[in-house]
Amino acid sequence: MNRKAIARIVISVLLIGGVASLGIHYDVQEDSYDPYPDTENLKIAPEEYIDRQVFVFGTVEELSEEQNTATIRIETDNGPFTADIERFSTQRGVQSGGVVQVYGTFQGEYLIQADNVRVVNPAGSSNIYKYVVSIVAVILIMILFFRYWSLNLQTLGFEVK
Amino acid sequence: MAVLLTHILVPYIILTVASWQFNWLTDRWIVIGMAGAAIPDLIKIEILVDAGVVETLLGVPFKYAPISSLGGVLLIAGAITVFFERQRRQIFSFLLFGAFSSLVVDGLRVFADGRSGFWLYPFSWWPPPTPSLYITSDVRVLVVSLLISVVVFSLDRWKY
Repeated sequence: MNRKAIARIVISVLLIGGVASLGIHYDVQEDSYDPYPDTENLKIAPEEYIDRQVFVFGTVEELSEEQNTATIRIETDNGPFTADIERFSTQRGVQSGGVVQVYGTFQGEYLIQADNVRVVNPAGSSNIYKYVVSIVAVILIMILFFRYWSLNLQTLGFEVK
Repeated sequence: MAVLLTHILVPYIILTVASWQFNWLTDRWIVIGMAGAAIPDLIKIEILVDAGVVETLLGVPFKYAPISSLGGVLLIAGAITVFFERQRRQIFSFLLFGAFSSLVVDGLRVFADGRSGFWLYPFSWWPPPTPSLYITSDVRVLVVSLLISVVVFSLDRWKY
């Protein structure tokens, strides 16, 4: 590995450090710009957010078609909590284990009256489809890339074949 | 976010069609554009290393979200570009084109509040409205992009 290779590694590490800095800045600033309360805050102090509009992602744990309600598990940095959703609209075809977005009014005691529920993953198995297709994509892009470009191990630089 | 295969097919389709007009736009550049489309998907690293682990290591709050934003893709495209010997400006431009196409495609997906995420960060915290065209796990999105890709591929081979 020559100096050129070391310079490449140093520059790329600095740039990735810049991405990490954005990650820190984003987390610090997000609450100031996000119109919805953070799920972690919902979990810690639900009484402070009664009647506030919330927007959450959650994994469906229970469905009640008769009452048009569901219980979803919401992940936070401080561990998950469950919330009951009213006006869930179960005809959306989501099953237990699926992931949904819920936009609605927080009623306190981990109860949300939904204005809109949209399905992200209809079932837990949807993730398998995503991962398999993504692996196919990675293999495809690697094959195509190395068809036209080759790596010089001395300089750690890609060159046209 | 749309599945990765859809992401890389979008720049393939656009750049291949564009190559019919511009002779210099050869397959090796199209491949760079396709690779760039995978940059926002690097956010999936959170499946392997939870943001909480990074927070513990750094001792400060942290989120992976900027990886899938304009600022993140600019920096990552730059980090990748330095590993090319020549024509770095073109490499950077094509990586950025692919990454931007992915962000736009993701911005069209379903959001219950009608707004896509903060993907313009750090240039803006404005969440652009979304037409809520699809959900990520909808196979039809991939099928349509595959069909268009096959048509474009066939036309490309027929043309040259």
